[in-house]
Amino acid sequence: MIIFTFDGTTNGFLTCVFESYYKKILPDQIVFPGVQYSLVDEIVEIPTDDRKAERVLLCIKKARTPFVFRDLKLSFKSGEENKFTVAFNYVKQVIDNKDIDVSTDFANRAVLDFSDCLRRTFNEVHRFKGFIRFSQTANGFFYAHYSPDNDITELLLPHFKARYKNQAFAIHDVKRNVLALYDGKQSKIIYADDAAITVYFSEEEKTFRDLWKTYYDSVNIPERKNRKQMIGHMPRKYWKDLPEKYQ
Amino acid sequence: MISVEKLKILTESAKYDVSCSSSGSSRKNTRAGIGNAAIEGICHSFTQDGRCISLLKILLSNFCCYNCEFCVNRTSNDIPRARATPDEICELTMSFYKRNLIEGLFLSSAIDASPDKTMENLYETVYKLRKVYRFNGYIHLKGIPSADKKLILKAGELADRMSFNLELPTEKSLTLLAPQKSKEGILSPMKTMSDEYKNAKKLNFSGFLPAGQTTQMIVGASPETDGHIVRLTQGLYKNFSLKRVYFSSFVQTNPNSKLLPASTVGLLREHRLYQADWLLRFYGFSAEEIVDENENLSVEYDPKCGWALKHPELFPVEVNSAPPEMLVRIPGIGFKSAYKIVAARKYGALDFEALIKMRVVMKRAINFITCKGKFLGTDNPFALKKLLSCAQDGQLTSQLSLFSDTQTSLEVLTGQL
Repeated sequence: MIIFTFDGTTNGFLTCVFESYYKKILPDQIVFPGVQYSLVDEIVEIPTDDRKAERVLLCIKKARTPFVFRDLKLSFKSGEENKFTVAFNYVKQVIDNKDIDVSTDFANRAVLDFSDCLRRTFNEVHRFKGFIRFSQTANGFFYAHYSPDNDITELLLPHFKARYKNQAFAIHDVKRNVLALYDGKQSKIIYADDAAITVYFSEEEKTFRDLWKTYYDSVNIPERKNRKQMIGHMPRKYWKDLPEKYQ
Repeated sequence: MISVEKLKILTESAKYDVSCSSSGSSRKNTRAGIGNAAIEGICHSFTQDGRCISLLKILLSNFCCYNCEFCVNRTSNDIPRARATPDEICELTMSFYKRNLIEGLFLSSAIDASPDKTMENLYETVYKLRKVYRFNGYIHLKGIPSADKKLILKAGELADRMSFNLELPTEKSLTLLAPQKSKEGILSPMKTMSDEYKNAKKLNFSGFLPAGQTTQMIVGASPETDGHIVRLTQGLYKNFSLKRVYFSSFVQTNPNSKLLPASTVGLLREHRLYQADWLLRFYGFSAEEIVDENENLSVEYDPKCGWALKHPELFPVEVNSAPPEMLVRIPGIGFKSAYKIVAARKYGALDFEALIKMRVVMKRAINFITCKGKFLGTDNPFALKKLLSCAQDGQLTSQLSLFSDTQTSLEVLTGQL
């Protein structure tokens, strides 16, 4: 197998596309450095080159398929390991067929895989519009921790800003240590890396937890028990961040 | 803040109302306010019974002066009773909403004293929530039959959605099982709201019930056929511009009643009615195509399959040339598949392999389609019927047994109205 490795940046990815055409090599995979590969694989390290990236970008923008660059950046938010390979295969279709819009050619594997990859990220965004759980902190602002499969904090932020216009909040992706902060006026995304984040909840918070748990239990119809359906809609992996599911 | 005990009583009395949808409204936030509505609706949690929690579903009071045979809150039923104040409801809604536990409030009430008094209390609560608490999230308000028309219209300017429950599919059954309610008392406010809704639409005014009206009826407590119910449903969509009609299967919770059937109906009938309802709303079917007036929907086949089996002359359909409205009539092909087919076939003719790659479910569809003229299904009508029957794969038995336990499905009892 031929594997391209790059630095994980958007320009790095676009450079991979450039080199593939320039060197006439079709990579089987495109990966972040640090991913394990086997001895028989042929590794090609692609150093990021902004000018080469720029040329690919121009080419993409000229192609008939719309929104490719926007969709590429979205696909990089995916938590799936093969996302760069899937994105590469799609871009190749876009460039090779630059006179047609390939975005809905679902019988084409590369197009279908790419559209599925985006859809899974959007589905998770939609789910977390519901599953985010805020608690009021001792300082008065509202804090939520969650652990999404994809890097969606930035995509969730506009929804909550519109909803809680006058309420300061923080949404914390504890898996990646990424935070979205909003103070009632401005917002920003922070990549906290290794910094430890500690919050103290207000004393009233327990009252609201109890009320919510009571509501959750009372609105259920025990005689209609259907755990399978519940888990289908609300997979177990999310439970650790949902107070109604704490044991 | 409301007490845990009160919350428990008022929720348990409200939970049998099937609707929990928060879709259809795109209400915007205001400058000093909190909240907005998401047009697609958002589920915030799921209970052990697999149902979604989107709204805080609660009664303002479960003290009832009516004695509807089928309802848990009937005056003769010995259950714990409670009454909440408007502020208690508002504070609870706000504190849940700020924590992103809900999309909004679904408020209802038993008939506490009189219809007008009850409607007034509901109105006061919703008014406070919007104007004092500045809440712009979703509100579904139950309408009280026979309540003052002016009050109901005013409520429509505050709520996103309202619903007057039809309760039963004919006037005769209603008179028998809910003697204090009348057909007129339910249909007339529904009509008032629907006229006002249409006017607002015409004037491009989005402030009146942006998510429209819905209703609910109990199935299996009275002798009406599915054919009658599906026609009634179609009529409600056409004449009252309802957004949804909900069905809830009858469950026996009043064993002393001489007027109700002795046993609970399984949930399969409810399921089939919902399937028929989808065909009406989204798939371009008419009630007449789905089921004969004096018949029930087939237990064995879903309504679309049943229709296709009755019309062998229309099949197989060539996927590469059929119009979208015919594609969605193919058993096993829904909107998502039809969309993918229509989009993909522009790039070149599709074969079976391509459909499978696109994850179109072929199990049933294969017997109704051709790809580039090729047919791979069975055209022996007897074999086909057997193949499509739900009984064949054990689906039927599990669906029937899942809910046919009497004690169990306390389904219906629209605790409320």
